Amino acid sequence: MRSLGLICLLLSTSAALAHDVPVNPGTCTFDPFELSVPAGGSSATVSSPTAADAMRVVYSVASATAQFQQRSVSPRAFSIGGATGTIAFPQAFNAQLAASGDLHAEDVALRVALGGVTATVPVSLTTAVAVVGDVVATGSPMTGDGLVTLAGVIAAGRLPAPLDATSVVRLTCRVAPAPDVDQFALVPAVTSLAGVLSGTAGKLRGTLKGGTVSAASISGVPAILHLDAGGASLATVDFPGGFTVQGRNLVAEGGDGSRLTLRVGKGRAPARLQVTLPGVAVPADATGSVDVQATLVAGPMTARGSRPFRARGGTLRAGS
Amino acid sequence: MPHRLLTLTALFLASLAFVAPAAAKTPRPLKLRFPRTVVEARRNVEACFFVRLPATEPFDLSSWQITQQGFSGTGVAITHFLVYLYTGERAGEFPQRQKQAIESRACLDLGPPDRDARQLIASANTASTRGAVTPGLSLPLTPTPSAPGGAPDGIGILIDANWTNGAPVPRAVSARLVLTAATPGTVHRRLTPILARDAEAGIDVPPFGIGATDSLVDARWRPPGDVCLYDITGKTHVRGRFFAVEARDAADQPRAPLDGLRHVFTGAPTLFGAPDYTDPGTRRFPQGLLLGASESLRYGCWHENGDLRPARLGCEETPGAVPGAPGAPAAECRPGCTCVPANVVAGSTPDDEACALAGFFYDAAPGGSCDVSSLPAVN
Repeated sequence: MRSLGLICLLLSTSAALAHDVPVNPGTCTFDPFELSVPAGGSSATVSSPTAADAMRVVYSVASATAQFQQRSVSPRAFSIGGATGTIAFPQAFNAQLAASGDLHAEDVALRVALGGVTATVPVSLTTAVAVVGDVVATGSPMTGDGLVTLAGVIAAGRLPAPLDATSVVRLTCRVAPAPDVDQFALVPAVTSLAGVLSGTAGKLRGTLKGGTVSAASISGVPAILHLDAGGASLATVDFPGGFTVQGRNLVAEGGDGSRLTLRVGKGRAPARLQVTLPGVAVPADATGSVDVQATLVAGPMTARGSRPFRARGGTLRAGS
Repeated sequence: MPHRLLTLTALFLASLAFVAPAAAKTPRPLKLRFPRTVVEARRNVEACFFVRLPATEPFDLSSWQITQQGFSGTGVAITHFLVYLYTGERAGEFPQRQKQAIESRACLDLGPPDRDARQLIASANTASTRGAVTPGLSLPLTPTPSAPGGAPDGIGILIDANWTNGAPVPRAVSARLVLTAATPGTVHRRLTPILARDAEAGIDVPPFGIGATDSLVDARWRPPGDVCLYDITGKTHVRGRFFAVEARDAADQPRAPLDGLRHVFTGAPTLFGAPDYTDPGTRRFPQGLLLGASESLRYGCWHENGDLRPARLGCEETPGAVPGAPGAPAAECRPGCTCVPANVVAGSTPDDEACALAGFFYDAAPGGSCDVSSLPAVN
């Protein structure tokens, strides 16, 4: 009885401890702020930012969210093709933040006024890769010092002329203070990348290791595979229908005959990735060791990985 | 695979405890196992596991033991291990026969809309923890229905484990929980749960603001007579910044004890204060804190909406009007709607808020004493 009483006494107050370490809010200002129409080769000249253009960034570890806030919306002025206009963000938009530093914001409502016409267009901004038709835009994940580039593609016909062709927006900023992203959701990395890439055929295999890969999380959402070689874009394949379940595999098929096959492992076993491409344009003058980077995007998931390939005669090879 | 067998065995043994319990015999202990969970290198994981034990009669809990495996010398630390009794009426909407724990902060992402109807019954932050209800008291684990209007058919236990792996490699951890019933003839009072949510009518925080429920609602829990407080805690969701409660005397003045955590916004003393929504902690009074019939507990919450954490976003329904009002949280953003900052109000989703006073009390002995040892046994 006495010991029970002692236990009760010891348990009489349980202290509240911090359980996810709060991530301090930061600020960032998009500069450079790029707005371009690749088909016409035109780029907007966007006004230099002022203090009012700064965005505040707050985080939730629980929901793996970074929220960009501009409580008092400050449209940025720009000019393109002789027309002047403004572009504004909503007061707040959410982006999924991963431990890799990748951000993905779905359907950010950009309000564009140009030549007396105003349009609000939803744009998905990502640090990975965005594709509409033949237009590709790439971002870059947040680095340890907070530098991040978000990219998005706006389909043709959504904005007033001369932005009525497919347009690209690229936003770079340095978030200060840089958040410690270790607490955010783990995402898989592409490892054991191997295969052959040439002008007539491309076959790659690899594994997705770490994080969580499940049919529920990545099927039914658009997928993109992007390959870089030595820092230059090698191929970007869009899979608008995303992955579908086919037996034990998840399969995504592109309009050009490209095919992604993912076999999800049980428990913590890595998922196995197989890629078949009709061919990629390998620079003919590439020789020696070339670093090939693969970026696989499926909905909010971005998996990245790289490996040196041997370049010879317009072909890149790695592994057996 | 072995852990699954153990879990099934534990569930089977637990169910046996409720099959034709013999009168005057102590029911068998309930033995539960939190499934093996891998904590990735240098990660902080909060995982949740729901178990439903078939039962139609309450289980008079008197003590418990929590044993967690996988910690000695591994670099894994226990941040919290919380055991809740589910008191809602939708137990059938929790994941059934879970094989793996589900990651979720404060266990807000699983279960039915009334998932906040739960009481903290045990906790641990060491590898082996024993705890007990004060002798003479018991904490009834009361069965609840699977669906609204149904007959109570099971005891729902929700376990919330938060582990941190400081090692550079993944580590596997698991836990066992043994709940022991009171010996017949030893219980003089059964604890009664408190779950007061009146303050939720006062949650109405505009975008980028901070709001206090007590600016709109004077939320009180009033005892049904002379009672003894046994345990109190608070409950908010992710945007909760502080929960505070104080005891008020018959003249409606704050009364002792006021040695809880000081209010983080006002600096005022509290009976109990909590700044952490995932593990608010509890204030326990093992010998009971007498609260007279004319006294009350005054409680309230402070919530934010975009200050340190993301603002609530919702679909704009009327152009120019901020969506979300008490009783009608903003609709979640979806393709096709204009997603704008919304008011934070009370609601059942993790993105909406809560403000609840929870805990347990028991009826005071005649004469207003919290010593119930001389009362006749009730079990």
